[in-house]
Amino acid sequence: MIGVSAPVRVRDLLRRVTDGPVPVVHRGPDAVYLAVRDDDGREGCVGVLGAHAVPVPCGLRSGIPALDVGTAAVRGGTLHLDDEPVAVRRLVDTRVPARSPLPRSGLRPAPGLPPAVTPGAVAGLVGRGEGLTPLGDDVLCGWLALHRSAAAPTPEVDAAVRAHLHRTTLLSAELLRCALRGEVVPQFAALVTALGTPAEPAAAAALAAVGHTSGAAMLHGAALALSALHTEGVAA
Amino acid sequence: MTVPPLVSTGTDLLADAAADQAVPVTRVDWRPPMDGTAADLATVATDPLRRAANERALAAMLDVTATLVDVAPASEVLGLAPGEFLHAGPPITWERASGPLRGALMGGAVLEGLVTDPEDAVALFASGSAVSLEPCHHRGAVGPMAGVVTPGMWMFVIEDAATGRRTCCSLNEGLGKVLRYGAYGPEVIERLRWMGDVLGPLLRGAVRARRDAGEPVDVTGVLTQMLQMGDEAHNRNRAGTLMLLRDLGPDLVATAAAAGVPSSDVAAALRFVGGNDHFFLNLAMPACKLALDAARDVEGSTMVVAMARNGTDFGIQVSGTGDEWFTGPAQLADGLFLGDYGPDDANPDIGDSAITETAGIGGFAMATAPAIVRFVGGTVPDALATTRRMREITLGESRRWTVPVLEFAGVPSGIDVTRVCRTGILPQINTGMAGRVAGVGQVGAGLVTPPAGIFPQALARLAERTVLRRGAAA
Amino acid sequence: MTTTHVEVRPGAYADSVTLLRVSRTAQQLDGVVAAQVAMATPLNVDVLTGMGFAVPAGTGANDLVVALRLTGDDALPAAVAGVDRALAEANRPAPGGGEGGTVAPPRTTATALDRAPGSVVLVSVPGPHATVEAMDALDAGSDVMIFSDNVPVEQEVALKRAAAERSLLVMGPDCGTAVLGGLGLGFANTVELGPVGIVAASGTGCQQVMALLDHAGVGVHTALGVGGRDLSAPVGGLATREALRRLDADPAVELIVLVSKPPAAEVAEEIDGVVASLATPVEYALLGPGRPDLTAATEAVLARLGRPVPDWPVHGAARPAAGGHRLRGLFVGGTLATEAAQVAGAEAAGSGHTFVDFGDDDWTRGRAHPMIDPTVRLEHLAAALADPETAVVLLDLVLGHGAEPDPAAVLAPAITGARTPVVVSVVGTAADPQGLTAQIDALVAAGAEVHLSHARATRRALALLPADATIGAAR
Repeated sequence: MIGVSAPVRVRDLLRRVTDGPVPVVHRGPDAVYLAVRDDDGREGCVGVLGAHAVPVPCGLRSGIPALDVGTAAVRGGTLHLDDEPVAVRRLVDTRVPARSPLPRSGLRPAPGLPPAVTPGAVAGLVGRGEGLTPLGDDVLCGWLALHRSAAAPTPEVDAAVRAHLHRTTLLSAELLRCALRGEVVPQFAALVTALGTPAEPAAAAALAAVGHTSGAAMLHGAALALSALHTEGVAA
Repeated sequence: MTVPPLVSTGTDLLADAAADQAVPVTRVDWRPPMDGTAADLATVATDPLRRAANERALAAMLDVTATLVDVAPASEVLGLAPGEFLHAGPPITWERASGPLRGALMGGAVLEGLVTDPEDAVALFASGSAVSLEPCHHRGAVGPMAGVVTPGMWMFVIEDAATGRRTCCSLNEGLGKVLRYGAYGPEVIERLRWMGDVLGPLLRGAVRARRDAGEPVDVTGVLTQMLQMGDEAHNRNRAGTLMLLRDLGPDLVATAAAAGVPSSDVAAALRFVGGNDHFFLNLAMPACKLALDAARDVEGSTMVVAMARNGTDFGIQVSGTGDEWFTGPAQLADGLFLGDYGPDDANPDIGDSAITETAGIGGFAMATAPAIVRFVGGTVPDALATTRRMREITLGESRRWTVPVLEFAGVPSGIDVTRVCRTGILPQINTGMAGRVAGVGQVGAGLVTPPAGIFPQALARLAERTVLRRGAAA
Repeated sequence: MTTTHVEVRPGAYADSVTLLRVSRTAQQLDGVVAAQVAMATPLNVDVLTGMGFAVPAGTGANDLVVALRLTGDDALPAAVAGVDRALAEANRPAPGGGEGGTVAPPRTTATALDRAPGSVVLVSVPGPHATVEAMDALDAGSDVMIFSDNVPVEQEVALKRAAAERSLLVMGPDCGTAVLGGLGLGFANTVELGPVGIVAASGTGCQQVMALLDHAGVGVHTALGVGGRDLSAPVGGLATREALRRLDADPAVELIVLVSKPPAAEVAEEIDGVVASLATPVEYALLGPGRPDLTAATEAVLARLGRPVPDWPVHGAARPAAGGHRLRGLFVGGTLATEAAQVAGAEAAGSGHTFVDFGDDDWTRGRAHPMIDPTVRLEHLAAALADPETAVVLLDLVLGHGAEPDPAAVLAPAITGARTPVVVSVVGTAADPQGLTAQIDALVAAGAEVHLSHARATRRALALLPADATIGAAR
């Protein structure tokens, strides 16, 4: 038995997955990512994360130091990795904390990264960059999640993102869907909680340290969103 | 609310249940405390003074910087009068004294001219008239092995610059047939006379010159360096000794020349110090005592401020219990023997040198001295494990004295009586072994621990005081 | 012809859960009819004596007793070797905690916190040793949950005073359940995330509320146990006050539920004062004579949240009583025993009905809690079912992270075929590791009537008593 903690949505998604083998789309010592199709036929991505993985909001988090997974399958409504059942023993909240009105913040966009997120810019961002989560996607994730935190709707950008999801990796598309719903990594949630407080610089540094470039790109996306929202007068 | 990591102390079932929820769990390998200590441990744990008292005692110890300020005869430094003899360990009578302590006292009596034939000293000490025995610790001093100090012996004087407090210790005689191991033959007495006539005055000149120049030898600083150089400052003092020679050599030569001391004496003195790898031990010990004395008499503190043995009894003193000694039978060391000697030849544990372990070095810093692990019958992994294990029974770590191989972790400092009782882990002491029979000298070296029972004794007294204080407050 | 073997091993300590596992392994060895490996506490010596073993005089609580009943002497060497193996296996250092395999595991809570600073601490060592470990946590600035029972009240007061000075939380002693942002400690149930925060002076009371809320679709964000004595006069609600403040400061908590026996009068006033100062509303679930039971209190919580009250489920149907006059309530949950007695109320007085809490200190000295080790309750259950005076048996079965992996598997055989009606309240959530449905199904198959609401179960058991039972009581 592999005991894991799970975001509520991921737990519920797995319950709806029909029995059978599950393709492994990425396999590493820190995480495996699975392509799951729920009974409505929608394709999604679920991670099983080791102790050292980035706790992505579409992941089941385990305490295993190094994963070594061959195959995955769902049997009787339960995910199995190499015949070892994965048991959800704890639920975690991945929702970005609500911060409305937004406080003043010291966050500034980083030079050399995409300068703005607009409906027209989305096509140039989705899937741009290397790796499992291309940099452009991470910028979008940060931008979207911060808007969710501020309860600021972004229907045009949302639609553009949804229209381009097929142009990035399965995992990155899933993380973009998470961001559209306001689901984030804990370091992002911690940053949002810390905005405008003395803890903000430390929280920003902790987010920037996530992954190779992912955290820094999300931070940049958040900074773009903050400056846009302040300009638009959402905050006092 | 983010979920914190968990420490689980107790049943594994509950730790497993938490680990299954994907939180990091640190499991404590808990075992019951020493017999009969549970109630006293709870009493002392809930003493409102304890935490702050221990923090104060530990900080006081760690803050002391010991400098070498003088070398002089014990009569001068300690006001020791003819017939007064100091010895290592807790108080003891001639009747209960072990072979090596008796041998050292007999040699001391010859040195002081009280008898000519050492065998005549037996009657002198048995009669108890005109002679008295007192622990070094009661006079602000420490002595290795038998630790016998007589008025005519020359002493290192160590000072805490911040407070002017002082401690002292005799000069180290070298290895083999020496007074501190209970030997008292003519060569022993002859060497001691030379140390008083030649070595002591030469060292005094150099030490005073350094002191008067405002640059006294920083003994604490030398200890910091030697711990990085493979010395644990109890059974290995090679680097420390060489650094002392480096620090004192030029002034020793200069002051000797100014005083007209023949160069042959200077050469003999330098050769003697450089040829005795343990010469620095007698500086390490009083430096440790100086630090630990700063931690004495903090009401509520459970920190051990002295561990000392007289060859018969092993005694400890604790910060929160004043000058009371808690004693039990000294144990036989486990280790390697010189030549044909074997376990039957060894005397139980003896000496004030366990003050080094009390201060966090010696056996506690074993990890930093892999060169001697075989000499005391161990392996390198044992040495690393020993230092880590000692951290289980100490209040903290030193900031200055660090162990490179353990990522520069500070040496485990401030032995906590309650942690010893809780874990049953006894302080690990590196030691030399004296021959059981007076006059034999050193027979080996090894590892030894205090008798376990003295820690529950001290704990009971701490608990008693806690209850009394509570009653007084109510 | 069986033979017995009793062996005392001084100074060989293992915790009660480990010994339970060793006993179970030993029971399955060839040639072994019965086996108990236990610390020789007075209670365990009684159990052993009851099993027909002669424990030598002078055996003390720090001695380990190996007691075996064998099919014959020739089975002895293999059986003893089997016990030795099981003990050695159980005493292997626990995995985890060390990196690189060379660093020995920490021996005290203080050392563990030195290595993992900022951790919350769970203490489950025997009661007389718990205070010392808990104080390590407070000294390091960590909150602590004390699962251990048998901790003297003056030590509890001292710990909680120290904690109050440092704004830390002491959960317990005798705290069976806590949920910290979804992390379940002790016997806690697997809960959905939700708006409710619980402060509980009662572990199983807290679990009953969590289970009912779970069935009603309401999640519990955090449940802080404070220990059964916290609201008594000597302790003065020190932990309750800190717990209330913590939940109030947590934006995820919309409603606080305080589950306890009624506080001592002078404490109640102070708690009311704290409650009045909070921004978050507080709903009381105080179990006492003349007060609502926990089901009614949970219904009030749902009403306050504007959520509908569901039908509390019942599975199976108990057979009518075949005789006898007495209700025998045998519980692993202390609050469940209390609640049953209170629901029975005046009816129970002088009636000879019994409500026994096997989790009480008297039953757990040197033994694991009955939610982990069901042996003692099972013995009493067999006796109650065999007693012609017994009209109805009322049991609880409590699920959760730290509880037995399959408690129904042990309980169901014990009630199968009983002529006496058996009513069981199963306290658990849908996501509990044991599987709520599977547990209920197993009990129903064994002939029990199963309720999720303990108050309902108790009323049902009372209703099953023959009409003359209360008349008999009145005489």
